[in-house]
Amino acid sequence: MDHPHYRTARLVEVQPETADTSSYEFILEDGQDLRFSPGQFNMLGLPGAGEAALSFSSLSAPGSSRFVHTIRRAGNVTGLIEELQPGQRLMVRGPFGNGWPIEQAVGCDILLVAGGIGLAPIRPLLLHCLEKRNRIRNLVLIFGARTPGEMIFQQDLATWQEQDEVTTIYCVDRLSGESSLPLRQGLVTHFMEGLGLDLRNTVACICGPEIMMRFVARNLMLQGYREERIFVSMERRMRCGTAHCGHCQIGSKFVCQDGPVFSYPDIQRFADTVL
Amino acid sequence: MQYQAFVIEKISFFSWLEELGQEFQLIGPREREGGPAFSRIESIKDLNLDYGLTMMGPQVHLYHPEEQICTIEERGAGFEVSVRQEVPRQVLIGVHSCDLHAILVLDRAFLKAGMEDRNYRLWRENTVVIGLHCPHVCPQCFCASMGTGPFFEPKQGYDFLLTDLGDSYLTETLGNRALKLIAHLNPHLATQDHFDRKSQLGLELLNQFQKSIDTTHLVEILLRNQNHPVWSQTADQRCLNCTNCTKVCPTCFCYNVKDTISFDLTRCERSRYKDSCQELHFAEVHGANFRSTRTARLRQFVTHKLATWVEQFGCFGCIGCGRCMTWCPTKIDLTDMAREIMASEGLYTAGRVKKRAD
Repeated sequence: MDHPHYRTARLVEVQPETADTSSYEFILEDGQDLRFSPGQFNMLGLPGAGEAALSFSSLSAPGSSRFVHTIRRAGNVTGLIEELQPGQRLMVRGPFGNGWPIEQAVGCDILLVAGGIGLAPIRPLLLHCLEKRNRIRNLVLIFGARTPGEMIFQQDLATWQEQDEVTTIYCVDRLSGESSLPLRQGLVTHFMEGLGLDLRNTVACICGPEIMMRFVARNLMLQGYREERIFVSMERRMRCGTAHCGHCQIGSKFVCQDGPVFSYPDIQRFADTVL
Repeated sequence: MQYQAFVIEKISFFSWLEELGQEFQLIGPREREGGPAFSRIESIKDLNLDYGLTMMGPQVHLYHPEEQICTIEERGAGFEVSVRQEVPRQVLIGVHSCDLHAILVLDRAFLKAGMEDRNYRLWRENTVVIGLHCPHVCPQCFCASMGTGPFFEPKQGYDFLLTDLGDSYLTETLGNRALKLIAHLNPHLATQDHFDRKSQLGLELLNQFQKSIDTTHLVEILLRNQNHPVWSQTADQRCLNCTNCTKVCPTCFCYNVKDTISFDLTRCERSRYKDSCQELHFAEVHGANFRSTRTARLRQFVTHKLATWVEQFGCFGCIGCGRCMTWCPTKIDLTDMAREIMASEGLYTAGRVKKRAD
């Protein structure tokens, strides 16, 4: 793919998640198949506003040109996406990035740890694991948000909590307001022990604020999980998605090309992260 | 690519260049206010091939400081995107070895298989590159240490490579385009004697270097010293955050993108312009900035050029031209910082680098 290589997508449906976050389902106007793996991202853009890198929050459906992004209003592009009405269009480039290490996870226990909007890129991975449930062993999701009102994917959270195929732990910093979910109070790191996982044979995938990923990864390493099997999804602002503009560089890595998913020791060795 | 070597009399070389001007835009070093600069050559008389260092390298004619990526028009059914289809054909004349290497470095960044930069490829394909071996060594230059000079070794990246032999040029050529362009000159093939004279000139240059850096263990040394005090000391005491270093560095490839919308809001021009990791905004994300201190930004520049670039692209990001330190208002020198780190590890004494004991 050269730069630029734009396609047009039409907004089909909006599903509000929290006060500042919604899930947007798009369909490609050219009707072509869009194949992507969990953890990959698109560059979504509007003329005049530029582009923003946004993870897929849905699972790629073969033969389909539909895809979902769960987006929090944070800047120009995401602000304008929030104003889109179903039927309106935006520009898409992608998919970009490497995605979660799905193949490496086969036959292993899987621990997913997400913080806030970080659950968006984790969701397709969890859906993938549930779809191929017999290929993996134990599956645990730990999801933390600041308040119950900031928890995205409420319906999914309820469904997963009732399923035997996945063990779920949902926690919030502050218990306030009503929630139909069983919530614990505390940071995700408070609920990471005694999960009954095979320490030497677990693939851990973490997505959330960098400072959270730091403490989760270090907690896991102290418990004896293997550091090279701890994966984090990094966030950097990027202009191109094709490893040219340089904005997303961390040490020798381009987050857009070599990431956004990195094994923890591979990215932690460089300066300018809080990992 | 096919390699040949000829000897061409200077008189016929320059009249050939003049001829090329009919078909190509000629770009070469010419005297400008403030020194030599790679600019459009209208007459061969403007050309000054006995130049030292230009502020901006010749690569600014391949990777422009600002350039349009595409135009976008909103139509009923979606967006119509138009990209550039062609660029003028041009000849870059008199590119020194370090700057030829800089172009090879940019090739690695912009011509990655499967992820090509369209504009760069167009300019690169339509540019004839004429390299020229330096007649003398500039005081700020350390290309010999970086393995990028004084003479250009790789058999790639140029069409013609000249060595000044007095009345004539030893003219090494790569590829069919070069052979076709000089075919009507019926040039004589170069002999061993010409190559011996070339080697001799190269050896003479090697003795002129005033500046050097030992690169043997440079990558590991810098990577294990990311918290060395030299970064904060240099940044706090001397770095003005002016971004000159990245502006003049011929391997800096980072850019930013901007959209300009027409007055009636129907047409958008998306362009890119060279950006700098020394700018405060560069590593900003929503709610944070990963290089909010001058120390972090200075360390990024130096460790990228001299260390992380190697893992990233398989070569150094520094070609030893010395532009960053020459146009730094406070003369910050990245080789000084590297040497200070080596010294603190006991690896550098009396001008020589020692091997690490362990």
